[in-house]
Amino acid sequence: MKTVGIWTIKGGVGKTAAAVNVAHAAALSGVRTLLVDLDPQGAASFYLRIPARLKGGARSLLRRGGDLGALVRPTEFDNLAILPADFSYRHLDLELERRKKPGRRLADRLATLSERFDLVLLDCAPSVSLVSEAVLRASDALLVPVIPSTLSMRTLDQVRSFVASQTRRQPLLLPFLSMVDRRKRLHRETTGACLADSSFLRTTIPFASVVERMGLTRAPVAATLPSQPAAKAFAALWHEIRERLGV
Amino acid sequence: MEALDRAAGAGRSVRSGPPQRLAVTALDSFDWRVWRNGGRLFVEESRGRATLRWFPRNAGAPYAVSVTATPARGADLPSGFLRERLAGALEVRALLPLGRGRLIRTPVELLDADGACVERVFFELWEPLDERARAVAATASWRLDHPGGPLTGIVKRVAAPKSETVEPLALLTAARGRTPGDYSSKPRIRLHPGEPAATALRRILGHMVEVVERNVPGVIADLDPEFLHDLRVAVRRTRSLLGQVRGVFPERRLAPLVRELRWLGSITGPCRDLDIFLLDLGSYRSILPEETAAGLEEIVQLAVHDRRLAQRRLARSLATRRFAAAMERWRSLAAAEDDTGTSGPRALRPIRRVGGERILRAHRRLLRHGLGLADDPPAQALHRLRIDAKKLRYLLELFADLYPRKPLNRLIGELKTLQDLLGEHNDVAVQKQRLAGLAGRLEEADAAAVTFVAIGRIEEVLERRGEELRHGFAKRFERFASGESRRAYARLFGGAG
Ligand SMILES: Nc1ncnc2c1ncn2[C@@H]1O[C@H](COP(=O)(O)OP(=O)(O)O)[C@@H](O)[C@H]1O
Ligand SMILES: [Mg+2]
Repeated sequence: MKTVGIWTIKGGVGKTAAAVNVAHAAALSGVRTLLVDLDPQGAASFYLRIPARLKGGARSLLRRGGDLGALVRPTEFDNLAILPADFSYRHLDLELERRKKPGRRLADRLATLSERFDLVLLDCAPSVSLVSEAVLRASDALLVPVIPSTLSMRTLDQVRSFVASQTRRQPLLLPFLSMVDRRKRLHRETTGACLADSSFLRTTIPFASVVERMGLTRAPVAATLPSQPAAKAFAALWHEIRERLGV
Repeated sequence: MEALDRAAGAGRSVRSGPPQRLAVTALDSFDWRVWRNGGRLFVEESRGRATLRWFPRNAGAPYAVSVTATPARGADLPSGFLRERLAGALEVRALLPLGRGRLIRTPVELLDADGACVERVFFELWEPLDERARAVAATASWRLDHPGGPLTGIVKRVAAPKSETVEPLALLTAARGRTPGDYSSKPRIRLHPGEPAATALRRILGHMVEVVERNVPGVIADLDPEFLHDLRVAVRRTRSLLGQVRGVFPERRLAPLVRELRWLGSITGPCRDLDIFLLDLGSYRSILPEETAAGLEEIVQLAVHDRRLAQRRLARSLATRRFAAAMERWRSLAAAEDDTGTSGPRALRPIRRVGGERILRAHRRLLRHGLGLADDPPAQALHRLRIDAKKLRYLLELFADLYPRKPLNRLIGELKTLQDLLGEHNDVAVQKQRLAGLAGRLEEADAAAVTFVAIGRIEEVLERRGEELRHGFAKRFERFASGESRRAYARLFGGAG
């Protein structure tokens, strides 16, 4: 089982869009995938038409000995299951803090699912907190969406130094370009600069209305419009991640 | 559907999705290795697209992966979960279409007030097709993957209060006369200690002839090497048993059958030997350096060619009148009414005593032949010992039910350790011989130099392994022949005497 966190300090950069679509692409490729929605707003759960409620909330997510597998819900897509979000996750930080070894708690809990899944994707709210530390600790790789702009590049540097500041095993950093609008000159220019950095995944995710419309279709892009460029881009992104991870 | 919707309660609704029409094929090995591995495997086809779907036997979400061709064996399974789970268990066995049918699958969802799906079940209509693709009566069923959910409860209460759960694998395979688990290469025949020897042996004979009959079509169609393997084991065991347990059947009925069993052994031998040779050649690929490994190709080609001929010859033999008559003879001895008057002197003795005597005799014989040998014994002596050990093993396993399980298993384990050495030593000798034979023919055919380099390397490896085994012999035999082990034989099998 490999765990991939999707995280950055900024919000609204396409984390959840990537989480849902990459998870769907992975499942489609025959990988038993679990999407863990750690954002109290539950956008990933919403996109997959799963109620954003977890029996027992943050506590049952973290309580050692509780059966995490029983909280996992199948989605309408083959090989894709979700651990839905819960509103109580807005206090996930406090909930972690109360526990022993909060840094590794999430990793330990997810490890109990290793027989059932080949891949776990963690979608989380943007913040620097105990939750992000726990996500880093649990992740083999960290997928970082970057919108092509100077500010985003600075954000990526901050993410890098935050990851570097973690004393434990550090996840493989996989930045990728998100919401790229080819019509914008700034995007075109920055894209080139980013891709000069070899740690960036080669696939870029275009800015596309089909991704925006996921809020209406409540399905991954490839489930409704598989031939759309955005759908193909997410699939390509998954195959790159798969290669880098050696799944 | 309306009834389900009404039962859903306030704020919730039940909605069914678009039905999917699928052509389905149930895949498993002849001996149900997928099913025994805790699942069921189907190829689902719709509009030219094929999905391989695994349903765990206990409830739980299925696993699915799209395929371009129906996998024919474990190695063809797409990499990932399925191959990891099944390839090891399937070994060389072919994945066969054991059932076919049509399926209409309709998802049914319980939605909450926000339109999110609280739970999903499937309404499925299965229509099995028999061998001639004629439809057999369709069966409707609910697939409830997750027991305990609210929708599962509603369905059970409202839509299907007394429906049995349909096992789709059983449904599809029944249309072709199969039942999951109906064949195992390791059969168990329940014997009773007090049973007269004649009845017990007849039941064993009846079982063995059935094994042969069931494997014949797979041998003729050459589906995978295990059909022939199982067929041969049944023949050899029967022959060994009849050769060792004398005085139960009248000699005039026994002799012709034993003769035909010997014939069956001889017609099945060449193809089986080549099967083993080809399987082993695969393993040499890894021990040869890369340049030399290329030299294997010509050897493989020649062996594959020989095997094809051997298989055809075998298939022809199995279609002869002689084969049919041999089977008839076998069956009739197994089925014979109680012909006490004409049967041998031991016919009415309890099987436990007869079995014990035979086991002790086979054991003594193996000891006698083995104890005289020093370390590094001649190959011929090891060969004889291998046969002795096999005979003893057959008896121990056939009569296993009649003796206390635990000590018996210990003895079988000890014997097996000895047999492993003897068996491998024999394989080495057979391979050397075959390689030498092939080398001669390849020379005549002007094969590439690298082929002879490969043969030379393999011969070296075999030579060394043979020596190693011969040197390890004394130690293994010592353990087998220990005082403690001998006492255990006397205790277990002598008591009834
Ligand atoms: N590739 C894209 N093209 C167009 N809109 C996008 C794309 N990715 C995300 N969006 C939209 O941008 C908003 C924020 O995306 P989201 O994935 O929720 O970001 P995050 O999870 O990082 O906060 C959403 O409204 C989403 O529909
Ligand atoms: Mg988000």
